[in-house]
Amino acid sequence: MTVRHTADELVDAYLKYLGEAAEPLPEERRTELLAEVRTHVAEERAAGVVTPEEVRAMLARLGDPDEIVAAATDGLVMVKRQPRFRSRDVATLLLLSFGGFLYLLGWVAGVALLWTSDRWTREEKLLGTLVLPFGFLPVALLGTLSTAACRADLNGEILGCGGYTYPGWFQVPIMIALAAVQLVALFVLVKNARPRRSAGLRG
Amino acid sequence: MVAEKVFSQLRRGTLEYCVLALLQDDERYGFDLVKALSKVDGLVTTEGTLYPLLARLRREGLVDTVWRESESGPPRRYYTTTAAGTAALAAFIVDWERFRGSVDSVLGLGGRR
Repeated sequence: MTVRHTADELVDAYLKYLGEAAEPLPEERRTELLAEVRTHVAEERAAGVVTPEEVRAMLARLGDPDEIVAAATDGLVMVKRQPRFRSRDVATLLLLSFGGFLYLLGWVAGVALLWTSDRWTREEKLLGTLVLPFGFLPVALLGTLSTAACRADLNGEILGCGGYTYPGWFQVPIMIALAAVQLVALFVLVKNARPRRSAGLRG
Repeated sequence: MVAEKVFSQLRRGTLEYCVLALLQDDERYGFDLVKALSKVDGLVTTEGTLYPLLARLRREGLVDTVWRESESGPPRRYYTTTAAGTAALAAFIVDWERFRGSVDSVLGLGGRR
């Protein structure tokens, strides 16, 4: 308190505080407000406000930075906006898609995260659960099953598959369809995720 | 001051019309406008809050701004009134005179004029 500050230090500290207080303002308003106040201070100093005491009085006339920022938020609804995707929501989507590969349990964890999240409605949660159970795992299994269990001749012609026949013309479209359905469901979840669309365990 | 809260609200409501009134005759440099208002007794407590007020008036289309070169230093932002601003001021003056008359007459300060 007894430390003597130079006029420059006082001005710098004031502008720094104002800049921080104005942080929540929309960028354009913040920049403009800071420029106006900076100009004001420069004009005052050019007009004869020189000593630290004079600067102090000038800054007191300008007013508390918090008060100035409050005046600038007039008419704005200041809401702390939640990000659309928290890390738990990203984890939810990844586990729903690929959790099946983690001994199936990953997908179960994904479903648990999905149903306790507030980002999606009940209908979307149902969609996320039913399309598809275990995510991309069934798609991948379908692919490996056939190559592992099917015998092909030298020309790549499939001769037969395991205990059951698996026509090749049938398998590829099914895989594509399953993967596509899965992608569509994922797309819906990504697109619709918003805070507070349903009651979640935590907001 | 007992009525400080009341007057801070009165100020808040009337200050923008004082700004519009000062801009009726001439355009004014932002800094000069703020200092002119600040010289009026009891009208402005914190000069800094006038800049957000001016910004709001501009957003509402009641004032306009132009940048002018200055002989010394960077360009200056000048404020001018708009047709909407002049109309808003005229409407306010009518309401204000009636309001002031009503309060004065109830307070026994000279009655209606």
